[in-house]
Amino acid sequence: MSPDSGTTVPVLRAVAEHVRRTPDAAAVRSAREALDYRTLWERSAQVAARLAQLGAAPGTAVGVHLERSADLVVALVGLLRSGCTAVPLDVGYPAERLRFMCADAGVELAVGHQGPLSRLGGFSVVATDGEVCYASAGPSRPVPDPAPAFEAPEVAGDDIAYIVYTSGSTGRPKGVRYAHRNLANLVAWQAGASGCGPGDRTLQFAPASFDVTYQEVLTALGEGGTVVCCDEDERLDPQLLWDIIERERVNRLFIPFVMIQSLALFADEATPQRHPLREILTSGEQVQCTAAIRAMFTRLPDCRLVNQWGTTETHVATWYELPADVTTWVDLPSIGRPITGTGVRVCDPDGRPVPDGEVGELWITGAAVGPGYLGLPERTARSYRTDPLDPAVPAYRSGDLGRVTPDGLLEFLGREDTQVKVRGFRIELGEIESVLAADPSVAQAVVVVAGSAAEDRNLRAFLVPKAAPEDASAWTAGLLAGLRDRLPAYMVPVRADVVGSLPRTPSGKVDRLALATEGAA
Amino acid sequence: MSEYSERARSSTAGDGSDGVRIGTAGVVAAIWCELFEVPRVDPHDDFFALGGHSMLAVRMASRLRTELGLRVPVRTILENPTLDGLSQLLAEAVDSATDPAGDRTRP
Repeated sequence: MSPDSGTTVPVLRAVAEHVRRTPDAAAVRSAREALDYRTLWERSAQVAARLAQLGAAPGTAVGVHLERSADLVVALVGLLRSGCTAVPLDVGYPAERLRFMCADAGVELAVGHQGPLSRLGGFSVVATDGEVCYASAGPSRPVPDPAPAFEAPEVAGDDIAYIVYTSGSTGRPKGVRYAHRNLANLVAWQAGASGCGPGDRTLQFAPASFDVTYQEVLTALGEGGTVVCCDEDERLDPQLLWDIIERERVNRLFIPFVMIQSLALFADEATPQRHPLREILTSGEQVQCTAAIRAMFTRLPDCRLVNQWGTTETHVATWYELPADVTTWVDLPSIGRPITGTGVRVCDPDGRPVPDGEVGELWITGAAVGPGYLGLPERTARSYRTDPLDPAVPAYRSGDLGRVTPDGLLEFLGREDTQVKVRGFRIELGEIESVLAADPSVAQAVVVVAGSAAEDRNLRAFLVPKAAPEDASAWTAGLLAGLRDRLPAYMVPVRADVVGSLPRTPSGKVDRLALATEGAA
Repeated sequence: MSEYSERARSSTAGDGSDGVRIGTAGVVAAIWCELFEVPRVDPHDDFFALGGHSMLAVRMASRLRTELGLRVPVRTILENPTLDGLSQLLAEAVDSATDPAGDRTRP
């Protein structure tokens, strides 16, 4: 095998170099298997070769429907090498949403595990390597084994590495495209900015349908480190997460802020000897340095906290590493400075930069900005713009508000619209409302976020029925069950209440704040 | 009486409606009242019907650890959603001073 470091895609060149220099080093560990760099490279070539055998070429959309596993890491690397566009199909999502994603992205070929593929339906397995199945949505006949040897195709920087779906305010999820060149910039920056390096271990925590998975996996492999796989229980339960950090000697975590809070609840026995964490990186929500979080980092003096900010459309745009001295931490830390090749402009509603210190919308410019939404030219044109200071540079209007503080760092100040973050998940309330309102028995539906602290935050629905239901709780339970069949679990409200009418603000808008306060009571 | 249930008894909060609750069940009930912000709970109350979610289960596990000295897996809370069911399971664990559902095998 030749590790083709000169010919593989740029985002993987550092990985190929580790394959050449340290082929026996650990690349991936799961409860079931351990792969060294040589094996990772061979197996990912096998994935790419299978896809080519099945007719996929650079640019072909390929569904990824794998459980958390070493296979998932192998498949993501293999897909990048093939030049195909990965469309992560989260195994926990309802089939209806996954079918929408497949239809929207034109997925006719999927790499998956048998169980999830059977539940999804519509795909027939045409080849199998180990537990990895290749399945086709079209007319299918098995292909010969083994696949012909992999030949690295030409992959351009503008080719799309992946499409991930985010909540859409009009009720339709949006496919966000991200190109090889965007990803290569991100990974090169992250590997350079991180305190971890060869041999260090990174937990693969993010759901497969999240862009953060790429950040975790490709940064760890690019550094010559090891990706450690976990299971769903370990993601759910901070006690088990502490166990795997200790048992697997995990050095780096990319986790949402609520999971930092959860870890802090159980951190009173954490020690640097047992828990060799050196870096916890978080994004997606405002970080609040609570007493419990300060206490946890005081117990782990070798571990840095890094606050990142960005959107799915740009991946990471800015970062801020909190100082080693926890006593100097402010309650709401900065989102810091832009990553390599990237800028942030604070703009007024007309897209003109405002003076430092004034609040405006954060526009992300440069290398982080992806090529736009899939098949939504108007939506793309509205948000994907050009740098107000240089029309040759792409920009993305984030919709987030912020300002530049006197020390030159960026401060995040929330949003103006109804996009919310619950437990790190980005949610358009309008999408949930439109699904509820589509039910013929519903006159009006409003979904709000109740609870102010991040750990309390949860979705509540308020429903105005067309005719008073005989059994209100059965009616709301039925509607919530209907949501579970159509939306990811994190988008389903924990509670729905029947109301005769909705409170209004003086201007006539639904008073969401009043509902949120009521929902929290 | 085990050390755990002594601790449980001493930290019990009575709710006044149906007599003073004692022991593990009383501690669990008091924690439910605190986390769901309700004045009283019924043995048949359901974690999810009260608006429980995974993060609340994490906080409940943390409070149970403090009050009962037990390591309670978050999954145990989610899979035993009634107050009664959870209390009984935890009372047994307190009596035998073992982990509830602690049969999870680790590699």
